[in-house]
Parts: sequence; C-alpha cells; structure tokens
Amino acid sequence: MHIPDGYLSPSTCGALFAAVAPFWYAAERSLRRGIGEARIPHIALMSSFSFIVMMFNIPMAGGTTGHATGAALAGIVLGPGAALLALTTTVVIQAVFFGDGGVLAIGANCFNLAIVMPATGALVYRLLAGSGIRSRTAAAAIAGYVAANAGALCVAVEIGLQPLLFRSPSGQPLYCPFPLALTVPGMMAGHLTVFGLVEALITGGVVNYALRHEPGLLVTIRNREHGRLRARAWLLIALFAAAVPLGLLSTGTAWGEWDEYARVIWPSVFGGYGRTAIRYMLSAFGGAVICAAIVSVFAFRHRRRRSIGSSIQRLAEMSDTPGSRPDLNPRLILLVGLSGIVLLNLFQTFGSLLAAAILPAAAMLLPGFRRSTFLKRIAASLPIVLLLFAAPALFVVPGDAILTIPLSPSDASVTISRAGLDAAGRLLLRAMGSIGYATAVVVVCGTASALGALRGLMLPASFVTALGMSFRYAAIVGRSLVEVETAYASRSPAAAPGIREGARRIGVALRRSVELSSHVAMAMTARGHLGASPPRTFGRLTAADLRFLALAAAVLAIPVLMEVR
Amino acid sequence: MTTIFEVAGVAYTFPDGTAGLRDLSMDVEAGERLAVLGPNGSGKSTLLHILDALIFPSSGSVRFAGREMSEKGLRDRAFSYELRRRVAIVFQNAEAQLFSPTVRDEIAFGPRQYMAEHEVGRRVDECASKLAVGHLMERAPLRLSAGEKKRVALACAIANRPDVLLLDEPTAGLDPRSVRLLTEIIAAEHGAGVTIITATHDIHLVWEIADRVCLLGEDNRPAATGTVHGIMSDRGLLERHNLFHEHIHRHGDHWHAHEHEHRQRDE
Repeated sequence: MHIPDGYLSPSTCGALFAAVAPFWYAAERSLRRGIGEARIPHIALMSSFSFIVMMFNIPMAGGTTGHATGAALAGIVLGPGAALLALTTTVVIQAVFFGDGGVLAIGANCFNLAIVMPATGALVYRLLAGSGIRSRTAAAAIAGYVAANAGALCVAVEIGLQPLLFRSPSGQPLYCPFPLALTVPGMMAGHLTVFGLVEALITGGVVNYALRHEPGLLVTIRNREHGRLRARAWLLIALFAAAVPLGLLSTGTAWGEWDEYARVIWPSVFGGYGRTAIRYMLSAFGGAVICAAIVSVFAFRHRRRRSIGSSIQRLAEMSDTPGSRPDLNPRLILLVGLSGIVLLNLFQTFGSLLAAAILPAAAMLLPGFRRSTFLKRIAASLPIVLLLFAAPALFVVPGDAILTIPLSPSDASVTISRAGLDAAGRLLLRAMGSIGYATAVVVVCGTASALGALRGLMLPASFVTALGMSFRYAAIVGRSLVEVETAYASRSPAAAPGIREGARRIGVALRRSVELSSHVAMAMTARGHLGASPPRTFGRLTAADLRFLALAAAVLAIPVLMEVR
Repeated sequence: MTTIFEVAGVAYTFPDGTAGLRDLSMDVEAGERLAVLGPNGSGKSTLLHILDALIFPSSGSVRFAGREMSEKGLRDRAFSYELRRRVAIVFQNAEAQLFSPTVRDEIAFGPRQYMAEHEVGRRVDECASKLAVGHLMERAPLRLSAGEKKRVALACAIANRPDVLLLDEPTAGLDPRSVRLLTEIIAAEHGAGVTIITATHDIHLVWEIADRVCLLGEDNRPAATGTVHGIMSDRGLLERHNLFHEHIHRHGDHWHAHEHEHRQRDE
C-alpha cells in the first residue's frame, strides 16, 4: 500500500501534497479548536498503534501472511479528522525512519492511507452499524474491507497514470512503468482477496473485542456517531480530489493514448502471437508471479529472522541513538537531505540518477559518519525495493528483448527487455537513493534531533509533538503486544495465532494505547500545557554548518551538471 | 496557617460506573505534610487527580486557595495557569509522565509554559542537579531505569517551583538507595515551605514524609483522619483496612506468626 519514491513523478507528488494540504489544515484547526491539545497524546498513541498493527503479520491460507493497516479502525475510533493526523504521523515515521514508502510520496501515501481509507471506513461503519454487538462487528468488518479496497484503487490509479503522463522523448516511462491495465487488476486482485480480508477481520475483530471486553474504549466510538454528516462531507471531498487526476484523462485522448501504448507493448511481449487480452494478461501476470514467488521465498526467510519483537527492539534503540555529528545543525541536514530526494526524482538521465543516488552512501563513508549503522539500515530495505518494486518492471516494459523465459506448457513467454532493465534501474536508484538520503539524515542528526528539525520546516508544533510521541510510544505499545504474545506462547502449544487471537492481541494493544494516551494527556495538562508548544527557532549557523552547506551544494551540483548536459 | 485545599463532600464515579471516591471532606493547610493512606483501589490516586484538577468530582466541591476547582472555574486561563504552576504531581506510572525526546526537554516542558527560553535552561540545570540526573540529560526518558525515571519525574514536578507537591506512590518499585534519595528530596522541599501530599500504602514511609494521615477504606470512604502517631498506633484500624496482617512463615521446623505491615522496601 505504501508507494515508494521513484514510482510517482514529482509533479504528481506535488499535486497530491496539495490535495491533502487542506485536509491537514482543517484537521489541525479542528484539533486546536475542539478538545484541543489534550488530543495530541491520543493521536500520537493511535499512530503508534497503527504503526504496530502494520508490523503484526497474521498467517493466511497457503502459508502466506498479511497485515492490516489499521486505517479503517483509526477512522472508526477517532473519526476521519483525528485519524488523518494519526496516520499522517505513521506515514511520516515509516518514510523517514524505516524507508517504508517514499519521502516525496508522503503526500500520496497520506492521501490513500490517511484520508481515503479512514474516511471510507468511518463512513461505511456509520452507515451500517446498528446497536447490537453483531451488527457493529459486521459493519466494522465491511468498513475495513471497503476501505482497504478503496485505498488500493487509489494507489493503482495514481501509479497507473504515470506511464501515460510522464515519458521521455524516446517514449520510455520515466517513473512507474506499469499502465492502469496492470496496476488496477494487480492491486485489486490482492486486496479483493487477501489484504481486504485481513483488514476486514482485524477491524471487525478489534471492534468486537472492544465491544465485549473493553466497553470503555468505545466511548470514543459512540461519541463519534453523531458526526455522520460531517464524515459524508469528508468522503465527498476525498472522492472529488481523487477524481481530479481522472478528469485529466476524460478531457484529452488519454485512453486513446493508452491504446497506442498497448499496441507497442503487445507485439514485443507476445512475439507476434496475437493481441488477445487474455494472452496479454497471462504474460504480464507470469512476470508478476515470478516476482511474487521470489518475494515470498525471501519474505518467509526474512520473517523468521525479524520478528515483531526485534523490530520493536530496533525502534527503541533508534529512539535512543544520538546523531553521529551533533555539531551540525539538524535543520540544515534535513534541508540538504530533502533537496537530494527532490533532485533524485527530477533527474531523467541514468548517469545523473546514479550519481545522485550514491551520494549519501559516499558521504557516509567519510570518517565520523557511522557508516555501519547506515549500511545496515539500507540493506534492510534493499531486497524489498529490488524484488517487489523494481524487478516487475523488467517484464512489463516493451523494447528490444535481451532474455526470453518460456512459460510452459502454454506457448506464451515472458520477455525481459533493455527498456525494462532501464525502467527497473531507474526505480531502484530513485527508491534506494531516497531511502539513502532519509537514512543519512537520521544517522547524522540522531532520531530526536531529526524529529526536532522537522519543526524548523514550519510544521505545526502540535504535529511535531505528536510525531515524536508516536515514535517513542510505539515501542511501549509494541512491547505490550509482545508481552501478550509471550504469555500466550507460554500457555499454548499452538505456534502461530489465528485471526481471532490476532484480533484479540491487537485489541489489547488498542486498550493499552488509549489508556496510556489518557495518562499522557493528564501528565501534560498537569504541567501546565494549555496551548501549543512554542515553536523553536532555526538556530544560529556556525562555521561548521556553513562548511557543510558549501560542501553539500558543491557535491549536489555534480549530478545537476550531468543532468543539464 | 492558611487553608490551601478545601474538599467538601466529594464523590467520584468512573465512566463505567465504578465508585472511585465517596463522601470525602477535609482541609489541607499550606505547608503541611499529609499522607493519604489506604489499600489498593481505595481511591488514593483518584483523590490526587481531583486535587490537581485532572478529573472533576461527580458531586461535592474542591477549592484551591479559596477558588472553586471545577471545569467552569478552570476555563479562566489565569486561574488555570496559576493552579498548574503552583500544584505539581508525580504519577504512579512514570512512563505516562515522560513524553519528551530527551530528559532535558522533559524537565524543560513545564518551565517552557511560563518562562522565557534563556531562563528555562538555568532552571532545568538547577532541578537536574538537585535530583542527581545531570548525567542523563541527553538520554531518552523512556529508556531509563525505574529509579532514574522516578527521579526525572520528580525533577519535572519541582521544575515549576510549586507550592504543593502531589506524590502518587513515590517509592513503589524502587531500591533502598533510591527511596532514601527521594525521601531526602521530599524533606528538603518541605523545608522550603512546599505542601506535600503523598498517596501510599507503605506505612513505614508515612513516618518519614507526613505529619498527618487521611486513611481511605476499601469502600472508598474516609475511614479516619489524624496525626501520624494517632493513626499508626491504632493497629486494629490498620488491620481492618488491609494495611497490617498476621504473617505466617517457617523457622526450621516451627511455624511462626507475627504482625506484618505492608511496605515495599527492605531496610
């Protein structure tokens, strides 16, 4: 569900940032006006909760696992406004600190995960929920299912539009190379079956758990119910915003353009075997299946090594690790990192892309920059980006064939083209380069300073406070989940939890989040927190800062010059 | 002496219908040391939360320095600021209280609400040295040990130089040395004229940190109020309220019974 950097053009990212901005503004305003700052801990803890839910894998049929996003649940429990802020916090933390989803794509990911999903979830729940436990559980499950699919559809449309809108003069797709005809069925097949179901079961299961065992939690849910009209308005606005990119298509000959594009793909993929839609889909999915198989094998091995416990341990360690260069101004480092990411996504030639992508790694090799931490974090993201996001491009983009894999017993085959290699390389460089810049910022500044530096970007103080709190409390909420898991394992011979047990554990985490958030809110009030925290200043630039700035500008100028030439 | 808190006929019921506190009336004088003693679930924490206006009584009234502490009363921002500056609380669960990225930010959180940034730094250093947490300033509060967390929480509470300090089970789960340090700091704060109200079921601690005791019963009603000596010498009263019981254990082959008070530390 998280779109990495490199999939969307900077203009699409900008448009989606602009589409989300009014919602952020409205949610932040209503936060300040309403119960106000007391809700910051509530939002931070719900954000930690979704963060943990996304880490928690539930075993599915066939030995695979899936995880829910918790976005529909957040919409139901918090209402769409507060859920927007909670999930934005989650998305920002995932992008900046874990390389999960792009930094430039934060606007797009927030649009899908923090607006469309919670708003759809809240609306469906409010329309369907009756007064009984069963009816509410069913309503929550349906809300989860619909929300997951609505989110997936938005992702599919956003990335599927890229090859139509952004191509090089020679016709190469510059960003995501997969057309709508692939992204829509690809995303929807997974979500209509597996992921939608996981979201439904978790949302329904947690609401059921809460209704049965923790009725206190649902005070918030009940309170939200009379906001039905407001939620509808939210959804309408979201749908309207979603329709804007589609509108681009209806006015021009975009669908016609797609026909042209398809005409180029088909002969090359099928080597003259005809252009029937069935064969096309078969071949495209053949490539997708190969990728999925590699990813599954990798994910299975990977999952064994990295349990939720170790992820939480890593989170807790990260929140305590100081930066490698405390002498440099963290806001400056953040700005340089962001500039790198923007440039990386603007560049079109392969050489400049490569130069910009390896810059953070090269910089981290300098003495005093803690390169092992950097390399370890980069290595954690590389396989997913390589296999899940970049490798499928090898099979889909038409061009001169360099390798043909026959798919027996059918006479269709999967072709890897030079253009496919080029597209996959671009995706890999853009996604990994962006993760490299973000990771370098965190390693150089340290987590606490990187979070503090965000305030220098004119972000609202309440959001930055929530962001920091969410990061710190995720470890605590996660720890309670691990404790429940350990207690369960000590008393039960079954190795893995079923859906029911999974939902119960997440329910426990939800209870812990809500409980802790009300205590934190009290603690803040007790110490006189009646308004927003005062914003911090940018800080005075030292000689070391200026040297760093000059060096960064000089180094970043290299790929810029290469691109201009 | 001036009366700082006037509690009249206060009852509190939780949203799920459980009673937290019933029919409590008492006055707290400025500068006194009061221990709120009672078994688990008797409403000690609830009372402290009410005295800090974090929750409001379901019936009855509480006045601070002669002013009504109600939701309506606290809408007056000036009164709200005054109350938050003059009354500080240390929660039982330190994890909920420590929400900032570093110990320095944590201690500075309170003063930042009232003071200019350049004064905040001085105040923070002063509190940190008082509580011996100066070496932890750049650490993440949630990663400290239990004793360190408690000391940081107390440093945060005294950072606004309050007139009243509300302490909820301040020594729970601490080792003897940390308990000693904490009681010394509490004594020093009291010496500086701060009113100390401590909720505890550690009856040994009561001798060290209180002059007067308010005993809450398991039915959430006040059972007795009096001097430390008066309450602590009434073994029957303490036994009835689950704070003292006969403890049976073995010495070699013989079973031996003696009275045993509930406390949380070894001496």
